[in-house]
Amino acid sequence: MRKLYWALLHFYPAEYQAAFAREMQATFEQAYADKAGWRTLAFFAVSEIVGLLRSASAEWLAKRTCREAYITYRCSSGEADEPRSEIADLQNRLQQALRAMEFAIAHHDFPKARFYSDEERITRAQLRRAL
Amino acid sequence: MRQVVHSPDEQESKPLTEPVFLILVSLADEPRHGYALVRDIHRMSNERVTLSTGTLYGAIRRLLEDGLIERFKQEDKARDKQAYKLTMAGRKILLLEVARMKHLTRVATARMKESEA
Repeated sequence: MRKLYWALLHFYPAEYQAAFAREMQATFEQAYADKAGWRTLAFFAVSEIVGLLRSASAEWLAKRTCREAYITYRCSSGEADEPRSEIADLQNRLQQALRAMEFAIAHHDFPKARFYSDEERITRAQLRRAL
Repeated sequence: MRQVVHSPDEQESKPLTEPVFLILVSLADEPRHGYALVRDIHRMSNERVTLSTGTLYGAIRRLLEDGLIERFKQEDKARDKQAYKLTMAGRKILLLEVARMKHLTRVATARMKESEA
């Protein structure tokens, strides 16, 4: 069953496999070890296989839709990428806060604009610390 | 021609899917790794919802991309037991969803009382 699951993980896009395959396998093995009785195991096996195939198709669709944005470095599991991904994540949040603030001001929604202005200030401080 | 302006907060107004909502609720009190999430969600939903690993990690991938959860660094844990935690944005979305549900529950309760009276 474990080997079958590992083989089925190859249905996912390569980027997804790199980011999540090991974690998925570990989670599956823990869940598998917890099951007892052939009925429970059979139900578990069927739901896992169906869930995995449905999820793999959804991921291929997401990859086709997102193209280069699909699984950015924020999701990658490389240790070396972590500080860079943290900075990029903060920069991304900063951009989102700025866009949301501009939109709120343009629509005269000043409480929301204040909220995003605070968020922008906090993110900017976090970014300064990270750099 | 009618012009449609999309709000950047569009995501905030969309109801969350059940797996996504349950993952966010499960991460609300502490960081959890994959199997801990599956077990907690199973317990929380009175054994009604059992997420398959495919569904769980599909949702985790989307939540990471949306910045609603983030990887939680644990020095003593193996890499294949990655834990996740809620971000500020994730907590905000969860609060909005809970408020939306409370509102709907209030409306439903009031209407049912009206129809009984």
